[in-house]
Amino acid sequence: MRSLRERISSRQPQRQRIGLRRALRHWWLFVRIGWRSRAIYRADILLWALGIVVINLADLALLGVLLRTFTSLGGWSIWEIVYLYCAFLAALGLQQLFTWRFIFIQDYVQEGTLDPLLLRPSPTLLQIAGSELAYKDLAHIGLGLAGIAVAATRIGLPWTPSRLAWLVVLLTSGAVVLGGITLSLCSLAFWTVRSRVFLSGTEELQELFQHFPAHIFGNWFLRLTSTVLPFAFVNYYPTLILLGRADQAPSPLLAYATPLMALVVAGVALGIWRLGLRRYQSTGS
Amino acid sequence: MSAAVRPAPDGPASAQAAWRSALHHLALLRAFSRQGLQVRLAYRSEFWMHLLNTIVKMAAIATVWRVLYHQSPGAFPIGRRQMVTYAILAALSSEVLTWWEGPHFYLGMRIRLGTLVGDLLRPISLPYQLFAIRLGESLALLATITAPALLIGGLVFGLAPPAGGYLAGGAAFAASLCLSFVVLHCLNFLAGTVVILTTSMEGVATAWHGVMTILSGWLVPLWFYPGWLRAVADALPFRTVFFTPLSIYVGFTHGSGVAWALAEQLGWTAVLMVAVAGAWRGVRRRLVIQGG
Repeated sequence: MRSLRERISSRQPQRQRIGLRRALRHWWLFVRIGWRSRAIYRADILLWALGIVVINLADLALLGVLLRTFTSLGGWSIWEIVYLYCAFLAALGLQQLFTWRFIFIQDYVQEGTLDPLLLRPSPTLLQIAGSELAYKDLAHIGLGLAGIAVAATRIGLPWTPSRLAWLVVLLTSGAVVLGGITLSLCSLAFWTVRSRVFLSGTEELQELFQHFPAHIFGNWFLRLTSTVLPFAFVNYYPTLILLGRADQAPSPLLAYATPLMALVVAGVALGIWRLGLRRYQSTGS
Repeated sequence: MSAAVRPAPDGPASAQAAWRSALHHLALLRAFSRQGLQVRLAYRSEFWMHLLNTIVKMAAIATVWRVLYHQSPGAFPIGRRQMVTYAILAALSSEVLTWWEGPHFYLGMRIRLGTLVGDLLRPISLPYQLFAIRLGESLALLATITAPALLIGGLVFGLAPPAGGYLAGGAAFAASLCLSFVVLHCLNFLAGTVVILTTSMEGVATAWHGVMTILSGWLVPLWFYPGWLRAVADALPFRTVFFTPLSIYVGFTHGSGVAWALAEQLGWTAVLMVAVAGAWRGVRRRLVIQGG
């Protein structure tokens, strides 16, 4: 047993571990508080969701215009590309809904507002994630799932139980990969203070994965985005599996490794977060 | 600002007043532009990420068109190099002629914070203030983002020279881009008035991206559009921001068509400037400034 003095002077926050059920109860409490604080902005969220629908329908229409003339891109038909696009939307929506607050890690560190979170007997990351859900991203999820359903029908993919199970696993994996990359990049704030730029630096890369089958950019690109910046696991490899095109991947195993990769990315992200948190010294002003 | 306060040379009173007013405007334009420039150059890490994003965007779009051209060259009304050039110029100009920054975001932010009152106190119209700020930011973007990315794009993908020669074609393209800048500023400002009326910046900005993407022809040239969509795009001013200058550059618009396109752009510029003045007058009257 360490003395109180020792505990206070220790840089690392000392905290009792709490069980999963209690942690989830805490999370739900934070979410409810967050919902109340946002109550007057409900129309705003609705308009934002509407904007999301408009933007994506416009994007899809444009892809339709393109594929009307060219019939295929990189060997993929229009509905396969719609599937790819919507798989990204659904994964993005899922990730954003639960973890969009990660982009504020920079502000917590910069303004020293992380301190009160450290004092509460609840996991810090859970408090950050739960402080507000991105309700507008329900539009992403809804639109993504609807698009996937329509595209699958048009392609003629039967919804067997195993395919449905794969869909759930792969969508979750995609969201976890995206969340992991987000957390990794945002946690860099512990070293650099500003970290949102790292995430915004991947914006166009994400756009690219959303719109186009990645293999048209070459093998070197697939190698890069399967390792260092694993965006290919968000929607590209999952779509390969669900379209029955896994043999098109550099190795079919790579595509099927998506759920495993999600665990790896999440582990690395949590590692970086913990490392950063251990390093954290309040702003002191 | 010294130029503005220096006494003007002797002359007829009205000419003197006009001269002073012109100098005054130029000084204000310079002051506001410098503010925009400084905002742009404040953060180095943001600059690098912006450059990276721009290059990724350019390379992605250029590659897609290269692939499609390889697939069916017969579908294009212009050559392969011209098409890749269209893609590169579209990607790069969309970083300066952007709809993700500008007057609508400025207005949205100011409305949210309730600080718009400070802007209203200045003895210069708000649309003009925002134009000057945007001009400074755009010049900074042009020098720091577009120029290096263009160099890389040229080296990696190869750029076609402007159709109609460097002098005539280049001048027509440049003139068209300047008009594009004014047209886009007006359109963004009008989107800003919608932001003020709905107080929903994100919603409007997101929908605005959809409108700009599908009606301006920056991502897919309008000649690929089906008849009805083409008719809609043709009837609206959005295409004059990207499609007009780019199709002049690659030679899709040529001969007397260039003069006609520029005239049309000029017409839209005039219409939109009037629309901005009118909309601003209307909104100003209804404006509610949030306090505290």
